[in-house]
Amino acid sequence: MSWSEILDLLIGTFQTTGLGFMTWKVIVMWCIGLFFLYLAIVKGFEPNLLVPIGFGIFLVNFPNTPLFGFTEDGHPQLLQFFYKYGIIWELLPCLIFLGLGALTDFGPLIANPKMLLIGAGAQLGVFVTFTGMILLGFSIKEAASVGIIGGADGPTTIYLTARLAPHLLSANTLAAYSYMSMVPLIQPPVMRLLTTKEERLIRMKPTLRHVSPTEKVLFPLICGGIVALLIPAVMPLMGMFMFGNLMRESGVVPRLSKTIGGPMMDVVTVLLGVSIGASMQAEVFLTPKPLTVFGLGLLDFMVCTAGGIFTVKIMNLFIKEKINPIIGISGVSAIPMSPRVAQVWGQKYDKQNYLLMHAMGACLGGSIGSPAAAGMLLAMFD
Amino acid sequence: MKRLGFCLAITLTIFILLALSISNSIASQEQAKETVQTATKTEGELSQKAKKTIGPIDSSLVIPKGPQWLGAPIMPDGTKIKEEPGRLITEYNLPYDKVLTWYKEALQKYPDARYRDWKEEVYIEDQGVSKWHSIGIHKTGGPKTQVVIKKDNWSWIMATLFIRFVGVFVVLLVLWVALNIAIFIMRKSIKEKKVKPAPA
Repeated sequence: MSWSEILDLLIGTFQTTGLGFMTWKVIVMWCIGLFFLYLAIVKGFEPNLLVPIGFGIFLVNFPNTPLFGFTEDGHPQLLQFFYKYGIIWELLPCLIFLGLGALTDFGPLIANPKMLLIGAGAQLGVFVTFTGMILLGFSIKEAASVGIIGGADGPTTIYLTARLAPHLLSANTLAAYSYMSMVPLIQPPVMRLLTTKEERLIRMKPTLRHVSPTEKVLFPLICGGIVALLIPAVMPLMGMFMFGNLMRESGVVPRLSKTIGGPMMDVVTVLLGVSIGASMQAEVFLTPKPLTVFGLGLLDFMVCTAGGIFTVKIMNLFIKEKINPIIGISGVSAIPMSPRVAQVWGQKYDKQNYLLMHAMGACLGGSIGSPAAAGMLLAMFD
Repeated sequence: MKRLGFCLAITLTIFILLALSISNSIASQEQAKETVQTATKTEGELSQKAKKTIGPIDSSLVIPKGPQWLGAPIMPDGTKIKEEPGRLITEYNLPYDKVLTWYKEALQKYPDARYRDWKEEVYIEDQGVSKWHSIGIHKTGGPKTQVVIKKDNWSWIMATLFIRFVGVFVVLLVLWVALNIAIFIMRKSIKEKKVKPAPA
């Protein structure tokens, strides 16, 4: 065997490894993946989602790994399989909503239904960002899918983006979950900027009225029916949400309710996270569009927060019992982080002011407002 | 142990750098080959560009060669009735279905064209990044057909966004009202039950 043959053999062997296909983009993606793992493991930000997402990013950006492509026969590889049938077919976001329904107590919203309006007002950023995206040369479908990030509703963002702009799926999802985890950093400055000290001192009742089990059972039926009539486009999400909630509140299927809110939700979260992470391949992610999405997503989130605050201020002009505008920040549906932030900041100004349950109501309003906004946007393209 | 870790880290770094340089040289060789190949190509160049683009594309990249207005195809042999910065009106001595068939074929490869079949016209809406907003093919019923191509306009975007934002409020307001009514009825019925004396 000659030296050149040995060298050819070595080069041949080398090319079967991933080392021969390394690029700077791959290394940047590793860093992004590791950064998300750091946020989740060390800082404790949304670990249930950021661990699978971060590891998905890390794993799929090794060259030649048979994870996110197709086999020679055209069959999807492991993570591609999850992605295709779970996300592109819109299965996982709907299942997440089913689980969320089984975990959500709508009591604070039923006790104080006017909080629904804060959830509607907080969708302001969705429409403002839409305009911004069009100005930057994005298509209307892309603009709609990016706009919904501000609602701070991960599954809705995934659902809408998979329908309208699948190429932005990874960027949109990552932006949505990242900003959701950064609620304590993003929302307080916006709140302080838009409210006066007197407004922040508005005291609210520490408790809400008791909500009967019958009211709780009726809520998913009423809400589901109205949404189905007015915005049928979003029923795959809202239908599942209300179905899960009915199972919880009816009390007759505790085993099912416990399973969908527990083990099923965990499995779906893992599959969703790892699929989203895997979709962030260097060639797709490191392009100007996803990076713009990431930047505008932050602005979107801030405008949505501002929208909630403005809605409270407008409501205060007409109602007797004034609402503390700090609650407005919870109009985005980042449960439970946003209500907690409202509670903490409310008590910074007045130690006797308990805003948590009121903020929870606004947040639950946002969890209906965000799919409603998504439905309105989807209806544009039907 | 620390020294061993340090040595491993250095070896790994060298290995990665080596791999990077080799892969870069392979990539540059392949790129050079590709440049030679594309230089000889003339036909289908635009559609190839369209394939490479991730996300929505401009319709001008995929429609057949011929006259265009802001990237929208214009069916030949028509009479230009009116041309303004915002719209172009053309008339054809052809029945409506033939004009529609031509436009459907012309926009076959454009994925962001949305067809709406209305009573008086077929409205082809651009949902991509092209500069035209819509192509309206009027159903006059006679041997002549009028086609109106409109430019993207901000009034449409702002109006539709405003309506949809208000729509979110309307949905949640309806829900609020419905909840209040349901709660009112329920409370009343519970009170009535309490007031009713129990049978002896």
